[in-house]
Amino acid sequence: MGDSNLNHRQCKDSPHAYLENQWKLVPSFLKVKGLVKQHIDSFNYFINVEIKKIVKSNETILSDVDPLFYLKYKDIYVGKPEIEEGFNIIRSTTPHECRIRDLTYSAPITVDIEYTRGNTRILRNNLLIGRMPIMLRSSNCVLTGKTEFELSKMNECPHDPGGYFVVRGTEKVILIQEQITQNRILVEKDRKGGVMCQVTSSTHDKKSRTTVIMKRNKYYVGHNALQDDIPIMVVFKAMGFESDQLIVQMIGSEPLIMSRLLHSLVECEDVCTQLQALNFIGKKMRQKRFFSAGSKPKSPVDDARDLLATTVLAHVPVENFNFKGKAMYLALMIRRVIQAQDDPEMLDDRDYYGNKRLELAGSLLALMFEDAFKRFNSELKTIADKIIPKIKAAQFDVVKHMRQDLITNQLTLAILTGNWTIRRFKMERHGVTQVLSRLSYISALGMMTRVNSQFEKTRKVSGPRSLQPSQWGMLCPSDTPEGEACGLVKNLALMTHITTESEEGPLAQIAHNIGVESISLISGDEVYKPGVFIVFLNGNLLGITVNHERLVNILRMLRRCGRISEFVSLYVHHRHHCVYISCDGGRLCRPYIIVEDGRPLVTAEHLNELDQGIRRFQDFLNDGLIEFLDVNEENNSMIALDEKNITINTTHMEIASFTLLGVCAGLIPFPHHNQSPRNTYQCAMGKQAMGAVSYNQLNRIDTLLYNLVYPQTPMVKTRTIELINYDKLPAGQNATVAVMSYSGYDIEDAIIMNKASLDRGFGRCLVYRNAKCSLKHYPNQTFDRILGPLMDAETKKPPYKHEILDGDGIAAIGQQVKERQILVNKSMPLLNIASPGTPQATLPEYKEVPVSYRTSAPSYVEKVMVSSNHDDAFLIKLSLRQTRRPEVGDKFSSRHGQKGVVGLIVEQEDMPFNDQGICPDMIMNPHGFPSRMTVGKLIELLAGKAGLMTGTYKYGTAFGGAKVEDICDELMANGFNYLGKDVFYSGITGEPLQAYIYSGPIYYQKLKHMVQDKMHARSRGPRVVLTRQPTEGRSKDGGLRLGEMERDCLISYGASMMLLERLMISSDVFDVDVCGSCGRLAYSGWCHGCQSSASVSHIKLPYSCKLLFQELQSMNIVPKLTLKNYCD
Amino acid sequence: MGKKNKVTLNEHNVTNTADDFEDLSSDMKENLKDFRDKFRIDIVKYDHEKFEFDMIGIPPAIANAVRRVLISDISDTIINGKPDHHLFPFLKSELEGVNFESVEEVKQAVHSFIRGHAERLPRTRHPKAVLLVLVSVSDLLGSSWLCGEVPTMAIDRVHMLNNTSLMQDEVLAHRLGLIPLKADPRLFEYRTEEESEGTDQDSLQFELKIKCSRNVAAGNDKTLPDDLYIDHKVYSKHLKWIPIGGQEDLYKEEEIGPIHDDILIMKLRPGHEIELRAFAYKGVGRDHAKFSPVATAHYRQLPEIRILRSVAGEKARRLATCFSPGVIGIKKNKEGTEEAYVIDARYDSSSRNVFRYDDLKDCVEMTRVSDHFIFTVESTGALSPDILFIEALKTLKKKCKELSDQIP
Repeated sequence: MGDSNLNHRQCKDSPHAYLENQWKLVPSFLKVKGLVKQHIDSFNYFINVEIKKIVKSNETILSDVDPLFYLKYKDIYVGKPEIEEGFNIIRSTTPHECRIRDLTYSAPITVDIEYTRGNTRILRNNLLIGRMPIMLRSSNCVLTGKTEFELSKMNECPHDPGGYFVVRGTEKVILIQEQITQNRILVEKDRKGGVMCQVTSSTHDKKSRTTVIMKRNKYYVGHNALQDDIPIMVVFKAMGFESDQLIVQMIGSEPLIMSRLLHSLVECEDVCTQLQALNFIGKKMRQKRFFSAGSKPKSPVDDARDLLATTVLAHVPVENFNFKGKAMYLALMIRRVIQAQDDPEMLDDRDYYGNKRLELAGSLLALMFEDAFKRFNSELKTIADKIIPKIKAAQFDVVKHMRQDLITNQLTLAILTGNWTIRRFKMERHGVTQVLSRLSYISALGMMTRVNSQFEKTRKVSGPRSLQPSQWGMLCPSDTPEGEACGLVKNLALMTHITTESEEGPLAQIAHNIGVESISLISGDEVYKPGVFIVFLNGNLLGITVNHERLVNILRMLRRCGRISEFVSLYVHHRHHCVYISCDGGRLCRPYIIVEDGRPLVTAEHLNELDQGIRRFQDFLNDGLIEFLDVNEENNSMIALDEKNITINTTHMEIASFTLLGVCAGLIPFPHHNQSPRNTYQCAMGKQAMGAVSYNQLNRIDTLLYNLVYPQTPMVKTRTIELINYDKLPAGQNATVAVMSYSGYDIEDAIIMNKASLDRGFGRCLVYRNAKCSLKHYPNQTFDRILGPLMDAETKKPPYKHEILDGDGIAAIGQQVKERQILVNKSMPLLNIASPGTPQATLPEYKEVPVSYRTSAPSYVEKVMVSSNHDDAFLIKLSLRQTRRPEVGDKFSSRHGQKGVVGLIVEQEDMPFNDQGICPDMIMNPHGFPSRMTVGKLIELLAGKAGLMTGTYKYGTAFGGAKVEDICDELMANGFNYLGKDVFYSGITGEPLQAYIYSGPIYYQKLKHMVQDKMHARSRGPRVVLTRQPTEGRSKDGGLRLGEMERDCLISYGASMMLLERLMISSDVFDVDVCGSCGRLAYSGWCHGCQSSASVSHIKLPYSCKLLFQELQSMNIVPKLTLKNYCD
Repeated sequence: MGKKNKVTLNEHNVTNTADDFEDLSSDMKENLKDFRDKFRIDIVKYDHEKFEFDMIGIPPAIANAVRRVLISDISDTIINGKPDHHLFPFLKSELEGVNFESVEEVKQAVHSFIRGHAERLPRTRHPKAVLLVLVSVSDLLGSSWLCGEVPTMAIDRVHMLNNTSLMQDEVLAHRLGLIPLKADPRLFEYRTEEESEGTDQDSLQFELKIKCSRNVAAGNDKTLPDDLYIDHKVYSKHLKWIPIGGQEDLYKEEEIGPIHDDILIMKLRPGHEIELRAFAYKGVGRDHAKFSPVATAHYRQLPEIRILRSVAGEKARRLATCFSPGVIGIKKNKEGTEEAYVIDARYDSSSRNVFRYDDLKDCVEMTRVSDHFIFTVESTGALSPDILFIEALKTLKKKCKELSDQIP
């Protein structure tokens, strides 16, 4: 401690002003990368790089029938988005066109191929094999690199982040999927408490899991292709390491480890040679279900050898059956297990974020594309096999059999449904994609940063749900939903970057050049000598080094000067004696300012240059002033929060501490003063707030769109708000709030509203809904049609239903639509049963299938669109609009997780007023504060009030922002009370109030829950056909359910008649005849069982009960009713 | 004045806020003469939009009643029937007399008005004390010659003929409604619901017809919308009054229309076009805030500051900063040290910032005079604020009368 104090002083002595504006690096970072850079980068990598790799690894198709036949892919390209308009007219398109016309925003995938037709070799270039949905703002999107003006010409919002797909008119996001890292050794406790080591290997075409466990003091290798666990010695021997000494040396010749291995050595005395071992393994192999036709089954020995070479630890390469690397890897796994048995600190933490990888749209699509491409190829192969033997006039031309729709459909359907079925991995995931929520700008942005974990939501474990220290700065600590998905669904922090793959080869070469000795050159023993560090590259053993510091320093230097990718991570694990070099994709990382000798390398000069626009973020990276650290490398760094905290050991400094929050939590002013769950609540509610959605909001025809009529920029802003352009697309209004109690209609968080404020437009919102229909052509040459409105012959006026129709049979723009009126007067031809041969002499008969308006509150027709959709049918879309002013019961919320409904709307003259004559827009009950502890809200009010006085926005940035003391001074200078409390007069009695009232502006959000959409009552109404009970739900005008618990209350109270009335008479009462003698139901006074009417009685029964009896009877169970006289 | 009618501003609360109403009224009943002597209206500031005056010697309830009437209630009491057309010339002359040039003139006029009618104050008209006070006070304040009603005219119905702009019809109509109109509402009737068409008696018709187009004359170097487009901003001045029936003869062109010409209604871009007919009707603030004749109407009680013990030197300067400028002065006392004194507490904002300093907080006592009301009436412009005030009093009086008539 003393040492660090000393260092402090050393730094402070220097005449050096602290950096102040390093946060300016954040906007420049976001300018380069954009808010959803993760998605776009990953997709770009896929369509530009990875897709070529996939094709390369599946490049040839051969036929079993004709040895001369081959097809070879030479290259693949993804083009620019375009649409087909029938008759092969192809033209480029914009995302917005696709959105409103229900099309898919996709680009052609073309290949260059070389193949044989008969005996000639043919080259074909730019052959279309399918269409790839294109991510908006990716490298192939038409929006990329466009100016605001150009975007507006394409009807696109400049603030729209992109990163999603438009598939059949819906916007779909491929959520970020969190996964446990692959190809890494993980040592964990298993269910029984024993230690086990697990490696999930994943290569392009294989996924397998290898485990090392201990049973009865012996070690075993488990694998999903093996029926049983195999003793480790057998595995080593099968790999060709027959000497026990060699094996033990590889695992480690420390006495402790050797003694642990004793039992395992003894166990496989019988298996000595490689052949014996392979035989042993071959017998334990799981039987393959299908043999590919033609190939003959291999011997168990060969099978076992293949298994060891390709499937067990699949990611470790084995060339020419040289198992050295793999054996060493396995030995290391065993060593880790042994070490962890003695030292629990050697156990790995599954929830630690360095052990996690995030899967993005690009990699998920790559999986899907490879699957589709393989299927495409195998289909071509089967066609070739089938057709080539047949002698035909024309020679077999494989190009004619290439169907485009296979790849197109598989990709679009996957994105549309979210079902990710990858056959080769037997992977089946649901809900991978979601419809982009356009409720508000924030909800759309929030969706793009969402991280979904694969964990089961129902399991009751706290580990994966709790906040991990390693999530610091990478994932937002506040933004997670409540309830079952709590902690499993996370959100990225503002500056988090997710890496994409970079080349391994050069990195390995450099490492070897620096002095990493290849593992194939050394025996086992040297590896574990003190001072020797094992070097891993992406989970693969690269070699060992004696001077790990030099290795890391040189690599780090190379990274800082840009010779190797900036996202390469170098992580020295001292306990493992390992250096982990990673350049794989899906790691979380974020930028930091590099600190050397107690000084940040970024200086005020650099920041000036940034201001002047001479420097960009990339320049900082190139000059080695800033670098990216991933979660693992953070462990080797000493990161100061700000310059004051820098000591001589500090290696890095934060750029801005507010970036540890995400997009949603970034909206909250003074979040560091709030109780933490309140920030979490706001993160959920910010997504429900109404406001501006995007600049093109009025051009869109969405199913549901909420808009505020007068959205305002918050008085108290944060840096994040400016960075994400929330000030340009806000969702809320600055309400003047008085914190006081009023009238008793404000209990339980209810809000009192000023009627005059509502009259003047506070909280007024627009609700847009759409109505859609398409006119289809039918195979029998008939088609749907639209007719104009009917006219009454006498009055020359259309009937009520057709009142709003224009001459073309579609509702006119600007018309008010009331319930049951027709929007599109469509009719459909009836199916003609007449045989298709007879000529259609008569016109087909039509059935009316109008699109009618069902909601009780009227709407106005905002716009009508007539176009054609993807199958060339007419598409008609109407946008309907409602304007709503707040009413009692509408939900509002501030930015501090304090939601409330309007409890009372008060005339302005009844509202309290202060010396200046200011009437609050809203009164909030002070009881909302003590238990919620949202001090941030109090400060927001104070800062907002001061901002009003000076005419400036105030900042409430997390861990920064305006200071309360300064705000108080400002208030005082402007003649306000320094505590923000003013004298108010009661609007009712006219006397001054006895308390000073805390009042000022607070940013309030109107949430989408409005009474108008929820209120519901019913006396009589529709019933379900089957049970004759009232229907359920507001949309079906359903009844209000008297549930189990309510029933329990009535029973316990003894209100039996009430119970009978609620459960039977008001529900599904039914008159039946029951035969007293046989107990079965009779029919109109006659028992069919007894053939008599002697003892038939008439009773009332719930219809559902009668139904149950009959259903039971149909299953040969006869329920019988025993009747008794009431008086007996 | 005794301690009794002083409201004290303490550090954390306000004490002595409410005078017992019963007490006060009985006081007043007995000392009606006293009340009449004490009651005063002083006009402090007057211009055509803002009107500040002091009302001294009345209970807060009555001051508040006036305020409430101003905001929304004016002419809650509606006389059914047609307006007195023979009264019209008389009314007009009365009004002309009230548009004053200087503060002094207003002062005189209001005083003569009030005093003139105060003479006819009935002694004891009703046994019920409260009512008596109310009636008598309002009688004292108001006149009896005409039952007042001062609602305002505001656009209430819009016939949208064409609207290709970005703004939704409802929003545009709402915005039009909030534009204050220049038209004496006393000359109009309330519109009856049965009539579908407005008549010249009850409605004003306006037309808004505007189309934005590209400015062909603009050079290529121009980038601002102002240069590029013609008619791209719709202002309130674009609302054109279209007389109905005989309105043309009754009103002059400049008497009718929006008060402010430069209220931005919306922005257009080339191709956008608006054509609409807007109908203004008479209404009261209770129905919708747009009918409220005032922007604000409020009062505050007169602040008083007493320095309890002498504050000198740096403390004195610090004390001065705790109040609004010009409230606390600093002068040299006999010993030659600088000492704080109260110049005028009237314009103190009652910010009570002395309580921020522990050493100063017990040096001063801040109170407010509970029967001295500093009234501020800010008109939206349809009628000048002084007329609004007088009209408010008339309404108040009418209400009191109605109430007293209902009590046997």
